[in-house]
Amino acid sequence: MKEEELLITKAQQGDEQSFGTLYDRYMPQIYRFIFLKTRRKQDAEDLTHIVFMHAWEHIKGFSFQGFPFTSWLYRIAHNTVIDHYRTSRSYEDITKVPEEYIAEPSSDATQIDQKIKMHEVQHALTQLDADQQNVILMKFVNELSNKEIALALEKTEGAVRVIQHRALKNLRALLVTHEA
Amino acid sequence: MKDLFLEQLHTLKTIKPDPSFAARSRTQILLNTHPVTHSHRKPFFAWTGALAFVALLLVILSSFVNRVSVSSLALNKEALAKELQDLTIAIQLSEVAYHQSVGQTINTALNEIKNSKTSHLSTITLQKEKAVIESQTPSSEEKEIDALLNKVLF
Repeated sequence: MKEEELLITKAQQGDEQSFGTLYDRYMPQIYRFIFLKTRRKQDAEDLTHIVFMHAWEHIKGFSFQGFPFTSWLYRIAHNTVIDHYRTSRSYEDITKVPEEYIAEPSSDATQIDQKIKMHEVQHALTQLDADQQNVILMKFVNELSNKEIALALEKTEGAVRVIQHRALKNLRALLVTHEA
Repeated sequence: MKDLFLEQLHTLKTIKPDPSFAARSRTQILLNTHPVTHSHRKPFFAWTGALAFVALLLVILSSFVNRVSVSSLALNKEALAKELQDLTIAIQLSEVAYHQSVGQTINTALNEIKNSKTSHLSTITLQKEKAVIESQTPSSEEKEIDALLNKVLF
Protein backbone atom coordinates (compact mmCIF):
# COMPACT_ATOMS: atom_id res chain seq x y z
CA MET A 1 0.00 0.00 0.00
CA LYS A 2 1.30 3.44 -0.93
CA GLU A 3 2.08 5.96 1.77
CA GLU A 4 -0.82 8.22 0.81
CA GLU A 5 -3.27 5.32 0.79
CA LEU A 6 -2.06 4.31 4.22
CA LEU A 7 -2.56 7.86 5.51
CA ILE A 8 -6.08 7.97 4.07
CA THR A 9 -6.96 4.55 5.51
CA LYS A 10 -5.75 5.61 8.94
CA ALA A 11 -7.63 8.92 8.65
CA GLN A 12 -10.77 6.98 7.72
CA GLN A 13 -10.31 5.03 10.96
CA GLY A 14 -10.30 8.34 12.82
CA ASP A 15 -6.54 8.95 13.10
CA GLU A 16 -6.18 12.73 13.42
CA GLN A 17 -2.43 12.75 12.87
CA SER A 18 -2.80 11.08 9.47
CA PHE A 19 -5.38 13.60 8.36
CA GLY A 20 -3.10 16.34 9.69
CA THR A 21 -0.34 15.09 7.40
CA LEU A 22 -2.73 15.11 4.44
CA TYR A 23 -3.77 18.64 5.40
CA ASP A 24 -0.16 19.85 5.44
CA ARG A 25 0.45 18.23 2.06
CA TYR A 26 -2.55 19.52 0.14
CA MET A 27 -3.72 22.68 1.91
CA PRO A 28 -1.28 25.12 0.18
CA GLN A 29 -2.35 24.14 -3.33
CA ILE A 30 -6.05 24.13 -2.44
CA TYR A 31 -5.60 27.56 -0.86
CA ARG A 32 -3.81 28.83 -4.02
CA PHE A 33 -6.56 27.47 -6.25
CA ILE A 34 -9.28 29.12 -4.16
CA PHE A 35 -7.32 32.37 -3.76
CA LEU A 36 -6.92 32.72 -7.54
CA LYS A 37 -10.63 31.98 -7.98
CA THR A 38 -11.97 34.31 -5.29
CA ARG A 39 -9.16 36.93 -5.37
CA ARG A 40 -9.70 37.73 -1.70
CA LYS A 41 -7.44 36.53 1.10
CA GLN A 42 -10.23 36.33 3.69
CA ASP A 43 -12.50 34.35 1.37
CA ALA A 44 -9.65 32.05 0.39
CA GLU A 45 -8.89 31.29 4.04
CA ASP A 46 -12.53 30.74 4.99
CA LEU A 47 -13.25 28.52 2.00
CA THR A 48 -10.04 26.52 2.42
CA HIS A 49 -11.02 25.88 6.03
CA ILE A 50 -14.48 24.73 4.91
CA VAL A 51 -12.97 22.42 2.28
CA PHE A 52 -10.75 20.58 4.77
CA MET A 53 -13.43 20.51 7.44
CA HIS A 54 -15.78 18.86 4.94
CA ALA A 55 -13.02 16.49 3.83
CA TRP A 56 -12.34 15.40 7.42
CA GLU A 57 -16.05 14.95 8.15
CA HIS A 58 -16.62 12.85 5.05
CA ILE A 59 -13.32 11.06 4.69
CA LYS A 60 -15.03 7.70 5.31
CA GLY A 61 -17.01 8.24 2.14
CA PHE A 62 -13.87 8.49 0.02
CA SER A 63 -13.13 5.44 -2.11
CA PHE A 64 -9.76 4.66 -3.71
CA GLN A 65 -11.25 2.99 -6.78
CA GLY A 66 -9.51 4.91 -9.57
CA PHE A 67 -10.10 8.23 -7.88
CA PRO A 68 -7.07 10.23 -6.70
CA PHE A 69 -7.38 11.95 -3.33
CA THR A 70 -6.32 15.26 -4.94
CA SER A 71 -9.25 15.09 -7.36
CA TRP A 72 -11.60 14.48 -4.44
CA LEU A 73 -10.24 17.55 -2.63
CA TYR A 74 -10.37 19.73 -5.75
CA ARG A 75 -13.95 18.64 -6.38
CA ILE A 76 -14.90 19.76 -2.88
CA ALA A 77 -12.99 23.01 -3.42
CA HIS A 78 -14.62 23.61 -6.79
CA ASN A 79 -18.13 23.06 -5.35
CA THR A 80 -17.34 25.22 -2.32
CA VAL A 81 -16.27 28.11 -4.57
CA ILE A 82 -19.45 27.71 -6.64
CA ASP A 83 -21.57 27.78 -3.46
CA HIS A 84 -19.65 30.85 -2.31
CA TYR A 85 -20.47 32.72 -5.52
CA ARG A 86 -24.09 31.63 -5.31
CA THR A 87 -24.54 33.07 -1.84
CA SER A 88 -22.17 36.05 -2.04
CA ARG A 89 -22.03 38.42 -4.97
CA SER A 90 -19.19 40.54 -3.62
CA TYR A 91 -16.44 40.87 -6.16
CA GLU A 92 -13.03 42.48 -6.01
CA ASP A 93 -10.75 42.98 -8.96
CA ILE A 94 -7.63 40.82 -8.96
CA THR A 95 -5.39 43.83 -9.41
CA LYS A 96 -6.44 45.01 -5.93
CA VAL A 97 -5.01 41.95 -4.17
CA PRO A 98 -2.54 43.21 -1.53
CA GLU A 99 0.97 42.23 -2.46
CA GLU A 100 1.98 41.22 1.05
CA TYR A 101 -0.10 38.05 0.62
CA ILE A 102 2.23 36.88 -2.13
CA ALA A 103 5.58 35.35 -1.25
CA GLU A 104 8.51 37.66 -2.03
CA PRO A 105 11.13 36.78 -4.65
CA SER A 106 14.83 37.24 -3.82
CA SER A 107 16.39 40.25 -5.55
CA ASP A 108 14.78 43.68 -6.11
CA ALA A 109 14.99 43.55 -9.90
CA THR A 110 13.48 40.09 -10.07
CA GLN A 111 10.90 41.10 -7.49
CA ILE A 112 9.56 43.99 -9.57
CA ASP A 113 9.66 41.96 -12.74
CA GLN A 114 7.80 39.04 -11.18
CA LYS A 115 5.16 41.25 -9.61
CA ILE A 116 4.42 42.83 -12.97
CA LYS A 117 4.20 39.40 -14.57
CA MET A 118 1.94 38.08 -11.83
CA HIS A 119 -0.42 41.00 -12.13
CA GLU A 120 -0.56 40.60 -15.87
CA VAL A 121 -1.26 36.87 -15.66
CA GLN A 122 -3.81 37.23 -12.90
CA HIS A 123 -5.62 39.95 -14.80
CA ALA A 124 -5.62 37.83 -17.95
CA LEU A 125 -6.99 34.87 -15.99
CA THR A 126 -10.02 36.90 -14.97
CA GLN A 127 -10.91 37.23 -18.66
CA LEU A 128 -11.28 33.45 -19.06
CA ASP A 129 -14.48 31.57 -18.33
CA ALA A 130 -14.78 29.40 -15.19
CA ASP A 131 -13.84 26.09 -16.84
CA GLN A 132 -10.79 27.59 -18.56
CA GLN A 133 -9.66 29.21 -15.30
CA ASN A 134 -10.02 25.89 -13.46
CA VAL A 135 -8.04 23.94 -16.03
CA ILE A 136 -5.24 26.54 -16.26
CA LEU A 137 -4.93 26.80 -12.47
CA MET A 138 -4.98 23.06 -11.92
CA LYS A 139 -2.71 22.20 -14.84
CA PHE A 140 -0.10 24.96 -14.93
CA VAL A 141 -0.17 26.39 -11.44
CA ASN A 142 -0.83 23.32 -9.30
CA GLU A 143 0.48 20.78 -11.84
CA LEU A 144 -2.31 18.20 -11.75
CA SER A 145 -2.55 15.55 -14.45
CA ASN A 146 -5.33 15.65 -17.03
CA LYS A 147 -6.90 12.62 -15.36
CA GLU A 148 -6.94 14.32 -11.97
CA ILE A 149 -8.42 17.49 -13.51
CA ALA A 150 -11.03 15.50 -15.40
CA LEU A 151 -12.13 13.68 -12.25
CA ALA A 152 -12.18 16.86 -10.19
CA LEU A 153 -14.27 18.78 -12.72
CA GLU A 154 -16.41 15.74 -13.68
CA LYS A 155 -15.38 15.95 -17.34
CA THR A 156 -13.62 13.62 -19.75
CA GLU A 157 -9.87 13.90 -20.32
CA GLY A 158 -10.60 14.83 -23.93
CA ALA A 159 -12.82 17.69 -22.80
CA VAL A 160 -10.09 18.87 -20.43
CA ARG A 161 -7.55 18.89 -23.30
CA VAL A 162 -9.91 20.93 -25.46
CA ILE A 163 -10.56 23.42 -22.64
CA GLN A 164 -6.82 23.64 -21.96
CA HIS A 165 -6.04 24.34 -25.63
CA ARG A 166 -8.66 27.10 -25.86
CA ALA A 167 -7.64 28.57 -22.50
CA LEU A 168 -3.96 28.80 -23.48
CA LYS A 169 -4.84 30.35 -26.82
CA ASN A 170 -7.07 32.96 -25.16
CA LEU A 171 -4.59 33.63 -22.39
CA ARG A 172 -1.71 34.09 -24.84
CA ALA A 173 -3.75 36.50 -26.92
CA LEU A 174 -4.68 38.46 -23.81
CA LEU A 175 -1.09 38.68 -22.59
CA VAL A 176 0.25 39.68 -26.03
CA THR A 177 -2.39 42.41 -26.26
CA HIS A 178 -1.53 43.61 -22.77
CA GLU A 179 2.21 43.74 -23.55
CA ALA A 180 1.58 45.59 -26.81
CA MET B 1 7.35 32.30 -26.34
CA LYS B 2 5.47 29.29 -24.94
CA ASP B 3 8.11 28.69 -22.25
CA LEU B 4 7.98 32.34 -21.24
CA PHE B 5 4.23 32.14 -21.11
CA LEU B 6 4.26 29.01 -18.91
CA GLU B 7 6.90 30.63 -16.75
CA GLN B 8 4.52 33.51 -16.21
CA LEU B 9 1.87 31.06 -15.08
CA HIS B 10 4.33 29.36 -12.76
CA THR B 11 4.95 32.65 -10.98
CA LEU B 12 1.50 32.15 -9.45
CA LYS B 13 2.91 29.20 -7.52
CA THR B 14 4.51 31.68 -5.16
CA ILE B 15 1.07 32.37 -3.69
CA LYS B 16 1.04 30.74 -0.27
CA PRO B 17 -1.28 30.78 2.74
CA ASP B 18 -0.43 32.68 5.87
CA PRO B 19 1.36 30.22 8.25
CA SER B 20 -0.70 31.44 11.21
CA PHE B 21 -3.92 30.69 9.30
CA ALA B 22 -2.65 27.22 8.40
CA ALA B 23 -1.86 26.36 12.02
CA ARG B 24 -5.11 27.80 13.37
CA SER B 25 -7.31 26.13 10.75
CA ARG B 26 -5.59 22.74 11.15
CA THR B 27 -6.02 22.77 14.92
CA GLN B 28 -9.67 23.85 14.74
CA ILE B 29 -10.55 21.17 12.22
CA LEU B 30 -8.89 18.33 14.11
CA LEU B 31 -10.19 19.41 17.53
CA ASN B 32 -13.74 20.45 16.73
CA THR B 33 -14.68 18.31 13.76
CA HIS B 34 -15.19 14.56 13.68
CA PRO B 35 -15.67 12.21 10.77
CA VAL B 36 -19.30 11.38 10.10
CA THR B 37 -19.79 7.78 11.24
CA HIS B 38 -22.75 6.95 9.02
CA SER B 39 -21.05 7.88 5.75
CA HIS B 40 -20.70 4.19 4.82
CA ARG B 41 -24.45 3.82 5.05
CA LYS B 42 -25.08 6.53 2.50
CA PRO B 43 -25.98 4.20 -0.40
CA PHE B 44 -28.31 2.24 1.89
CA PHE B 45 -30.04 5.40 2.99
CA ALA B 46 -30.27 6.53 -0.60
CA TRP B 47 -32.01 3.26 -1.51
CA THR B 48 -34.30 3.31 1.49
CA GLY B 49 -35.18 6.90 0.71
CA ALA B 50 -36.02 6.02 -2.86
CA LEU B 51 -38.07 3.00 -1.78
CA ALA B 52 -39.89 5.03 0.85
CA PHE B 53 -40.70 7.64 -1.77
CA VAL B 54 -42.04 4.98 -4.16
CA ALA B 55 -44.11 3.40 -1.36
CA LEU B 56 -45.52 6.80 -0.41
CA LEU B 57 -46.36 7.47 -4.05
CA LEU B 58 -48.18 4.13 -4.30
CA VAL B 59 -50.16 4.80 -1.14
CA ILE B 60 -51.20 8.22 -2.41
CA LEU B 61 -52.15 6.81 -5.81
CA SER B 62 -54.10 3.89 -4.33
CA SER B 63 -56.01 6.18 -1.95
CA PHE B 64 -56.84 8.43 -4.88
CA VAL B 65 -58.06 5.45 -6.94
CA ASN B 66 -60.16 4.18 -3.99
CA ARG B 67 -61.66 7.59 -3.51
CA VAL B 68 -62.59 7.73 -7.17
CA SER B 69 -64.14 4.23 -7.13
CA VAL B 70 -66.08 4.98 -3.93
CA SER B 71 -67.40 8.21 -5.35
CA SER B 72 -68.33 6.46 -8.60
CA LEU B 73 -70.05 3.75 -6.58
CA ALA B 74 -71.93 6.41 -4.65
CA LEU B 75 -73.01 7.93 -7.93
CA ASN B 76 -74.20 4.50 -9.09
CA LYS B 77 -76.19 4.06 -5.90
CA GLU B 78 -77.81 7.40 -6.40
CA ALA B 79 -78.60 6.58 -9.99
CA LEU B 80 -80.04 3.21 -8.98
CA ALA B 81 -82.14 4.75 -6.23
CA LYS B 82 -83.46 7.32 -8.66
CA GLU B 83 -84.28 4.62 -11.19
CA LEU B 84 -86.03 2.55 -8.52
CA GLN B 85 -88.04 5.56 -7.41
CA ASP B 86 -89.10 6.27 -10.99
CA LEU B 87 -90.06 2.64 -11.45
CA THR B 88 -92.17 2.64 -8.26
CA ILE B 89 -93.94 5.78 -9.39
CA ALA B 90 -94.69 4.17 -12.78
CA ILE B 91 -96.02 1.02 -11.12
CA GLN B 92 -98.16 3.06 -8.74
CA LEU B 93 -99.58 5.07 -11.65
CA SER B 94 -100.47 1.93 -13.62
CA GLU B 95 -102.07 0.44 -10.49
CA VAL B 96 -104.14 3.59 -10.03
CA ALA B 97 -105.25 3.43 -13.67
CA TYR B 98 -106.13 -0.27 -13.31
CA HIS B 99 -108.09 0.32 -10.11
CA GLN B 100 -109.95 3.19 -11.74
CA SER B 101 -110.98 1.07 -14.75
CA VAL B 102 -111.97 -1.87 -12.57
CA GLY B 103 -113.97 0.41 -10.33
CA GLN B 104 -115.81 1.89 -13.28
CA THR B 105 -116.60 -1.58 -14.67
CA ILE B 106 -117.89 -2.79 -11.35
CA ASN B 107 -119.97 0.35 -10.90
CA THR B 108 -121.44 -0.05 -14.35
CA ALA B 109 -122.25 -3.70 -13.72
CA LEU B 110 -123.83 -2.95 -10.39
CA ASN B 111 -125.88 -0.13 -11.90
CA GLU B 112 -127.08 -2.41 -14.64
CA ILE B 113 -128.03 -5.11 -12.16
CA LYS B 114 -129.85 -2.65 -9.92
CA ASN B 115 -131.69 -1.01 -12.83
CA SER B 116 -134.87 -3.11 -13.52
CA LYS B 117 -135.63 -0.98 -16.57
CA THR B 118 -132.80 -2.43 -18.46
CA SER B 119 -134.36 -4.27 -21.39
CA HIS B 120 -132.12 -7.30 -21.74
CA LEU B 121 -132.63 -8.25 -18.10
CA SER B 122 -136.38 -7.83 -18.08
CA THR B 123 -138.30 -11.14 -17.41
CA ILE B 124 -141.03 -10.20 -19.85
CA THR B 125 -138.57 -9.68 -22.64
CA LEU B 126 -136.89 -12.96 -21.87
CA GLN B 127 -140.16 -14.89 -21.96
CA LYS B 128 -141.05 -13.29 -25.30
CA GLU B 129 -137.74 -14.25 -26.77
CA LYS B 130 -138.22 -17.84 -25.53
CA ALA B 131 -141.62 -18.07 -27.23
CA VAL B 132 -140.13 -16.79 -30.49
CA ILE B 133 -137.35 -19.37 -30.39
CA GLU B 134 -139.81 -22.19 -29.66
CA SER B 135 -142.10 -21.04 -32.48
CA GLN B 136 -139.19 -21.17 -34.87
CA THR B 137 -138.65 -24.98 -34.25
CA PRO B 138 -139.37 -26.89 -37.54
CA SER B 139 -142.47 -29.13 -37.73
CA SER B 140 -142.54 -32.87 -38.78
CA GLU B 141 -143.71 -31.97 -42.25
CA GLU B 142 -140.96 -29.52 -42.75
CA LYS B 143 -138.50 -32.18 -41.61
CA GLU B 144 -139.84 -34.68 -44.24
CA ILE B 145 -139.61 -32.08 -46.99
CA ASP B 146 -136.01 -31.34 -46.04
CA ALA B 147 -135.22 -35.10 -46.20
CA LEU B 148 -136.77 -35.50 -49.66
CA LEU B 149 -134.87 -32.49 -50.99
CA ASN B 150 -131.64 -33.88 -49.73
CA LYS B 151 -132.28 -37.17 -51.54
CA VAL B 152 -133.02 -35.35 -54.78
CA LEU B 153 -130.04 -33.19 -54.61
CA PHE B 154 -127.38 -35.72 -53.48
